[in-house]
Amino acid sequence: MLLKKMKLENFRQFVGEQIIEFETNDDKNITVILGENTSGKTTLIKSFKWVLYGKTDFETKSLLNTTVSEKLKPGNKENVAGEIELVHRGTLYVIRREQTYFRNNYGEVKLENARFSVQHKTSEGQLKYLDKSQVINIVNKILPEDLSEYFFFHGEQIKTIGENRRSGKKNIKEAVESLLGLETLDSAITHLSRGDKTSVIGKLNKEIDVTDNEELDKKTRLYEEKSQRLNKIKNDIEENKDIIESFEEQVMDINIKIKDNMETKKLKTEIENNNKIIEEKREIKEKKINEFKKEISVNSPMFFMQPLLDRALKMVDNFEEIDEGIPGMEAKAIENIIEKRGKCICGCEIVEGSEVYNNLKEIKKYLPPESIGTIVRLFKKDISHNKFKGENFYDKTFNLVKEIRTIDNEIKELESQNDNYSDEIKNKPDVGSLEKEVRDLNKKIQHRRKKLNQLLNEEGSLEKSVNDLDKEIQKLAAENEKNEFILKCLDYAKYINDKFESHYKSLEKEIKNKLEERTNSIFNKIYHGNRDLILKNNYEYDLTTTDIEEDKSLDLSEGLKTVASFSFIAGIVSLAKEKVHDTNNEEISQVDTEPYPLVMDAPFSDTDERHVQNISKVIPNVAEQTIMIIMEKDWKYAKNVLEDELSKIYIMDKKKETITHIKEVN
Amino acid sequence: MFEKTYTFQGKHAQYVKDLKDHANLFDRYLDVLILAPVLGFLTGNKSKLESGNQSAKVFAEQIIKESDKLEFNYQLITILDEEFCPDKTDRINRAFRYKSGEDYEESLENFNKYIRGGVEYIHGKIFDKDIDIKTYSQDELIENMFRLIEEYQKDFSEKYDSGIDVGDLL
Amino acid sequence: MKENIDKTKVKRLMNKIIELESENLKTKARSRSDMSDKIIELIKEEVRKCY
Repeated sequence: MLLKKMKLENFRQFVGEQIIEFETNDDKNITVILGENTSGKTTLIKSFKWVLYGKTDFETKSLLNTTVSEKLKPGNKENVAGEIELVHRGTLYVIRREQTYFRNNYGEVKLENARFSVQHKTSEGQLKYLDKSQVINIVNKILPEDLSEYFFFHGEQIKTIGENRRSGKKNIKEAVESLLGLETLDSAITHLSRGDKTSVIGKLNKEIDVTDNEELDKKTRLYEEKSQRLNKIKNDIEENKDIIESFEEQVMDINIKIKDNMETKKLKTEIENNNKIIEEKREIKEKKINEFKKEISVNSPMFFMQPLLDRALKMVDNFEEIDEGIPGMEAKAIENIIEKRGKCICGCEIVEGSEVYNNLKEIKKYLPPESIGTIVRLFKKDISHNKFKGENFYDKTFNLVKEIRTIDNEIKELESQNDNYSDEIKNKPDVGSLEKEVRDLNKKIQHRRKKLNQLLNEEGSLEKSVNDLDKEIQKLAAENEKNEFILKCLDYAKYINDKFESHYKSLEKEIKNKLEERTNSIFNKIYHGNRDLILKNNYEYDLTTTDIEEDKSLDLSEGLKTVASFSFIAGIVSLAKEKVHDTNNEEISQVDTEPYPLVMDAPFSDTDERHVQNISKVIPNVAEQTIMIIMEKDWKYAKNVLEDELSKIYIMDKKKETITHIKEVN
Repeated sequence: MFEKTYTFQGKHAQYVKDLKDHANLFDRYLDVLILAPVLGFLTGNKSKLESGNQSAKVFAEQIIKESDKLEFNYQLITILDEEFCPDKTDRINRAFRYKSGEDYEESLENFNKYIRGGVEYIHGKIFDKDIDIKTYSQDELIENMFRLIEEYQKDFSEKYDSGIDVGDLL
Repeated sequence: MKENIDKTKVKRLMNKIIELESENLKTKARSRSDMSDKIIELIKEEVRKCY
């Protein structure tokens, strides 16, 4: 499918009639539409979805341009319309959707008629409307809605695509296969063999003549019964498989939550360990503080008195009283001589007031205990002792304070770590109840698996029984000549069906492998790391890495997810470009696939310059037709790479909040 | 000389309690008693006896144990205080010889003034008069005490952080 | 009965069936039952042919 033209009439900010033409030239297949944010990039993408599927998800509901709406007088109406011209499997289609708005006499704007029409160009060259019954499904045939989000590549949705999960993706398998052309085969198989009432084989079986042959009649009825039952069982099997997978997914989700909680347990342990260390450090700090206190209490006076000590020493050094008196003699002796004896030991008379008396009195001063020489000597000793004590005081206290500060910082560091951990832990769920949920689900899963096995067994035996009956019926029927023809037709139908089925299976496998390979090749051209995309059964993909350290699958950056989604889509589109053919089976002609365009809105919004250039290099080779709506700043990087493939550039010129004009740039 | 119970009174009692009981920077009131006169004399802070209900006692048994330290401080300050007693010989006598008498009592009272002045000085350096004592954390008090020590260390060692050689300016 | 299968007829039938299916996917004109009937017609026609 290739887009040819897009016409918008009064659609949101695109006032009046605005047209964009898309070239489908082989070498110039890129159309670029430039626009800054809020100029209408997203609206343009959404307009495709509205025209094709009637879906809108704008915040303000009205599609009618605001300016036009304001000018609308009571009693008048205005139209909003969108028209897409495209080519699908060789036929030109014109798809048009219209919505009328009407202002009533109360001044309210109301919705009126909505019209949707599809025209196609006939082989004679005329445009002819498709009738109602055809119109309903045609759009989904051209571009299934499920897959539309892959082709209208909405920059902001990429993250959700990137986190692809089973639940949304069941339809993708069918849709992908449809796009890649397996649909025809699948449809043929359905018509040939599925449903015993409506299928070719079923109907042919009915045509077998059973008259006059009671046994044949009985067997045919039994065959029908069993076939029906087999169908029901096949349905039940599918249903059970779905339910089991959904339960398993739930279990997976819950286990992630529990693991989160394991993180919590880990964090709690960390916190506890930190607290232990904090306690220890606090104790050490206490000790150091006490040492500090002791140092202050005991030695601070010595420190502070340092400058006084030298002066004091000088003061007593110059003290003339070196005289320690007379060895062996104390003041008591003089006292005795003066007071008691009145006579000196030498015999002299001592009279009060005489020179002798005064001399003796003077000498007494210098004798113990009245002499202070000893005291002064002690004093001098104390001075040097205190000098010594005071010298080391500063270094000691300095080191203690340093240690205290260091420990303090360490404690603060740990406390802050703990705070962070605590914050992380907030709002985590309760593991106990989660684990119970998991147990319950696992029980349910077991129960279902048992059921599934029973069904599979029954399916197996029924299939055998049905096949056996079929053979018996054939044999019995063959006895009736009338049935020879029908049986022959049945043979052909069954043979062709078998061939189709096995071919389908191998094609499916081939396509899946090719898709995985193609996607990876594109992925690796854009992203130079150690990761690979692995496709699972229903086309979900996983990003794995062979590099064990890089394997943090929960930790993918936004840019990486963008690149992965883009690669997946580009892979699908690229395959659709090719014809997949099976060289082993010459009986079946090529499955036809047709090219698809890639319409991208802000594909580069979360990637860096390098990725932008890499993605740009890949684009021309991926899709038959590419339409990019991007911001000028991103275009700057992509321009050099894409200039040669460029067919047209448009710019979305935002005139006002409510008006944007799309103009071609020459 | 120092053998009786020493009693701090009035605001000085409160200050001593703040320093020892609250700030927990000293092991005993006695340690404050020993340090205070040194700083009082160094900074020229003298303070009169204040009456008041408050009291902080250092008991005789403790005094006696450390009496030599107290005596040393008394002697040191007394021989150096030229303002109080200009005559050197007199100073020396008051410091070492006299154990009683008028002169002795005078010098002792002088010493006590320095004790009180020193208490005020230390208190002022550890606590800010506008801030409620209760709000100080242990860490802050330690820092304040150490800052005081550092201040003096700079003065003693003449090593300053200013990066200028003041000698150039002179 | 497998020996009676004529490969040429099979080839023709396969091509016709695929053609029919492609056409129908475009226009969705026929119902499922219609399609089966049409295919039965094709098969019967082909089986009757002697070339």
